[in-house]
Amino acid sequence: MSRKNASLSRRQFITGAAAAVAGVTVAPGVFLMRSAEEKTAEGVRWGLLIDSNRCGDCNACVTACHAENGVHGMDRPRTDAQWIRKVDLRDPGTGHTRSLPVMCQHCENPPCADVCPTGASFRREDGIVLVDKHTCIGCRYCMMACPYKARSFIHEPLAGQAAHAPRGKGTVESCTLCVHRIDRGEGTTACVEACHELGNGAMTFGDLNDPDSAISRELAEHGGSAIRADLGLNPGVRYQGI
Amino acid sequence: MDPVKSLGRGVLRWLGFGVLPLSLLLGCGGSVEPPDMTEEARGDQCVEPVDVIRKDHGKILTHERDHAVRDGVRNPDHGFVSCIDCHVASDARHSEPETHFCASCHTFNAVSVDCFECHRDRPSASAHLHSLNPHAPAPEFAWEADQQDVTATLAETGLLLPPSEDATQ
Repeated sequence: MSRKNASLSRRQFITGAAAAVAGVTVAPGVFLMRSAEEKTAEGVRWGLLIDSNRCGDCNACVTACHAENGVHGMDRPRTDAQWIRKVDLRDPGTGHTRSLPVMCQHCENPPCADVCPTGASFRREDGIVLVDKHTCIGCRYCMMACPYKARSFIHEPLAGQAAHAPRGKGTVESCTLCVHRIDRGEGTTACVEACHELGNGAMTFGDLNDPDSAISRELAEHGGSAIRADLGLNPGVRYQGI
Repeated sequence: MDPVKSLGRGVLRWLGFGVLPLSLLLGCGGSVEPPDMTEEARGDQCVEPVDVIRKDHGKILTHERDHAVRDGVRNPDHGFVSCIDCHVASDARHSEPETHFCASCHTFNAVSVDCFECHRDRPSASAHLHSLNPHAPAPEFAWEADQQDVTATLAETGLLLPPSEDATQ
């Protein structure tokens, strides 16, 4: 048995669920499995690097993210969904201020997934933390567990969602690291794209596991820190200058 | 007990619980008209034979959705968005079932599963075609003039056969 198969759970093995499959119908109700060519890239960990020295008083990433994913406010700031937000920091000693975007930090050990009673919060193999809304029951434990306040709950019926970003009442949602773009192989996210086109070029997207990627080289050269590194969550989003 | 009386009661019960309701049901047996397919968004062909997809579309979608969400394994033949792109008119609303390909049949069959509380209920692209589907449209499918760009782009990426000479004119 190959190493890959050895890691399958019994249930996965029996149901064939672990194979990258696509159904081929041989008769009504009978499906043949075939390997799909595309799946999450192996050995990859997607991440973001945000240089808060460059990040200024602009909102391009927030606007772009919400436009890309069809997130509309209802003019109720206390309950409106928020996938990414700008946070202003001020050092009371010096009065020095800076502003930086905070979104789901795509932790290696996500507390949201730990507390989820249905398994709806999960971490994909390539490091993206997502909510499977098919199984989310809207209990909001993950929102309480997340130290970054990254998740939102949808309180009202929605219409006009983006085709690639299903969203609905009674489920929790957060930044998906533009998983639809990654699966299309685009290698960037809406916020990073907007930051370079309209903003100050403070954001970098890339594979943290690839030592030759721009993000890894930048991290190797200038370093980067995690917010609340003391929690040991090893987030995929890193910051410089904080 | 008087045997005649008890027989009479038996007959009454038989009538009350058996024959009368049955005959009422028989009276209701008019012809049932299935909902019309919206011509505008009929699609030229499906990704599976019609009898298979009619019976098993729910199974196929449920079966593959976990792989799509959790493993990033997307089968363009069986993508939810592809169904919508091809079969739902751009002005359809699932809240108005008579306009919506999926909702009309679900309502007719009293199926209450509603994917559209979360999923977009209408195509985001204006052109109705299998946008990601390696199944090319049927050879006799007539391309609209405003779909030529899309077709050419898809043909470049190898997703579609290039539009035929007849269609481009």
